[in-house]
Amino acid sequence: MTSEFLKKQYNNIFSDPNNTLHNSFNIFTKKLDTEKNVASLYQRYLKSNQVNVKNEINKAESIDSVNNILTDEVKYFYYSLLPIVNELQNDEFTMEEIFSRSRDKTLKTLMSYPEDQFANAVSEYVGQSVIPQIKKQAGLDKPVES
Amino acid sequence: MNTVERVKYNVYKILEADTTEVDLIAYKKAAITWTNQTLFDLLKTKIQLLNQLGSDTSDVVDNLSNQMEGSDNNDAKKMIINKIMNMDKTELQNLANSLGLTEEKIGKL
Repeated sequence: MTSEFLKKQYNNIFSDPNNTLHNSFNIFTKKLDTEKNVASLYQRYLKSNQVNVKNEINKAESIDSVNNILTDEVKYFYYSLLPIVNELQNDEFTMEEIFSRSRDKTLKTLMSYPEDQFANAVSEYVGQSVIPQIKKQAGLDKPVES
Repeated sequence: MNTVERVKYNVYKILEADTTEVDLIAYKKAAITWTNQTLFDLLKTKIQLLNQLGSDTSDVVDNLSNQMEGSDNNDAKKMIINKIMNMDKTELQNLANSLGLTEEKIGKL
């Protein structure tokens, strides 16, 4: 069920992945090939992924490291959701429908990209949309007084 | 990395060196909130419902679709599931009540 594209391009897309997120995703993709109830498998993965991301961000020692984890996470999020959407074939569980209520319209566009275009667009999305949002939320977007 | 990108990166690293522990903690907190609100919250409700319908309540949906005369069972089942996927919290709670699904079994909607 894991796409041929991802199998071939994994090392290019995730050149230096976070170990915990990488291992968790690997286990998930291996189970995908044999699991009958993919919705249940995905629900379990989603829960563990959320905990892993939180823990990895908390362990990060710099803002740069946090940003690398965020970039990895957006990729893992997309590449884990895509096969589930393809497998379920449910009108209410398409990429477009899932992100139709998202306040982040750039994310909606990004998640609708085909997988061969997605990887190139992620860094730009994180750099231009995610990081500014987080800086603002953290109160770090104000200019430094000299 | 071209020259402009390298300069930007170096400026970024210099600025980052000025960040304090307090800044980093605030940044981490905001980053975790972002992942929760922007990524996970959107999906959790949908996949939970889909999963619920795929297992515990499949008999109920089967029975409902069987009662729909003139409809193919799978089409009817899909229609019911799609209808449910579009319900808001109140409508879902009403449906759960009518199906006898208690809060202990399905959690708070």
